[in-house]
Amino acid sequence: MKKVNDVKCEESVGEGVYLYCVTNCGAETGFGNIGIGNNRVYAILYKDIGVIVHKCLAKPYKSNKEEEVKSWLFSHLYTIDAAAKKFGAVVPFAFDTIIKGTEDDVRKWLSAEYHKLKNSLERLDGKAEYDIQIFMDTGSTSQEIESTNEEIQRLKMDIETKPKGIAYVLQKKLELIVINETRRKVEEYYKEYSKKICDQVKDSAEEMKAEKTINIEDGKWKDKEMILNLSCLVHNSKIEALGKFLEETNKIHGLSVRFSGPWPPFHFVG
Amino acid sequence: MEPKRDLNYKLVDLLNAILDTGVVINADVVITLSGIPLIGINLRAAIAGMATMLGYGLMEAWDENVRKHYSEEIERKGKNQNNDALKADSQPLVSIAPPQKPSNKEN
Repeated sequence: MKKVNDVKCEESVGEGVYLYCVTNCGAETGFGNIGIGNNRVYAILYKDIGVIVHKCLAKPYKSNKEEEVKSWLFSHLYTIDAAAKKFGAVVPFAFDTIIKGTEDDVRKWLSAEYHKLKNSLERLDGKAEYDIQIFMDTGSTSQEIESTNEEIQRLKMDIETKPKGIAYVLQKKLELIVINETRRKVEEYYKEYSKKICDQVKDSAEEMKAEKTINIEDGKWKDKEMILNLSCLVHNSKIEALGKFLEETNKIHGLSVRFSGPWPPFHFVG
Repeated sequence: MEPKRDLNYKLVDLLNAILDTGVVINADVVITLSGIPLIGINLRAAIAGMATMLGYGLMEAWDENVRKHYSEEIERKGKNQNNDALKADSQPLVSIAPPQKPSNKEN
């Protein structure tokens, strides 16, 4: 193992090693300066496995600037991807996992955990994480309700003939009905499809986890509501089948699917 | 349907993972991992890694330390203050402004 001399450590903070992932790298490997802050990324080895790292100070990366944090996250992800491309299965670490100490400390840790890490790598071999999000198109559902719901049609006629003040109140009532009816429709869809979709996805995935649904406020997902947010560990050989099923799901009126990956198995190493 | 490598999405997802997990734990703690001191100043940021390590049975000492730290903190601050006060007082590692309306990058 080459010694890294170019990193000066402040005495008060001490040496640290930033961890990206553990992989079956087998031999000494450099990845170049692809790490967070353009740090040199390399592997610390024990037997046939290694942990992909860069040398740093023993203090976490910290910033108030979202763009900077994003660029760090990007480098974190990029480095793990590079390792996965080269060596296959990886056990990824979360962003900002730093061991205070030297390469020897890291190697000691690797040797102590060798069997567990090796088992994890075996379990993850040939698989990657894929995220599946199912959205309901609440924008067009609302429009549909507005143009078909009988009570709303009656209200609309009323609004045209009533004085301004009353019309305003009726308009508010109309809007409330649209909101409630849309909500009811979302729940209906959720009941009808969530179990079916989960069951089907489970057929293709080795493991599946339902994550919290989140709202996405930009792009083409703006007027849609996420009703399912799944993380799946999927074997390479099953991607096509999963894609086919999701394509069918995407055709269901009112539903949209986002299928993303492959990603490092962040959700499947805990 | 082919899976897409939508990086912008994944970065937001990872950001959310940082922001969502370990809401209470957010303080300067030096933790020990199989005898190796491991630092995670904002444990919220490292929590997924912690979960990994807990899965490996590595973090019992860490867990104990964190619990001890918090019970001491709470004791020190007295009974009148709740966890929010504790949170506000501690030093965030990745302190990001609360999610704002993101720019339209996806289109």
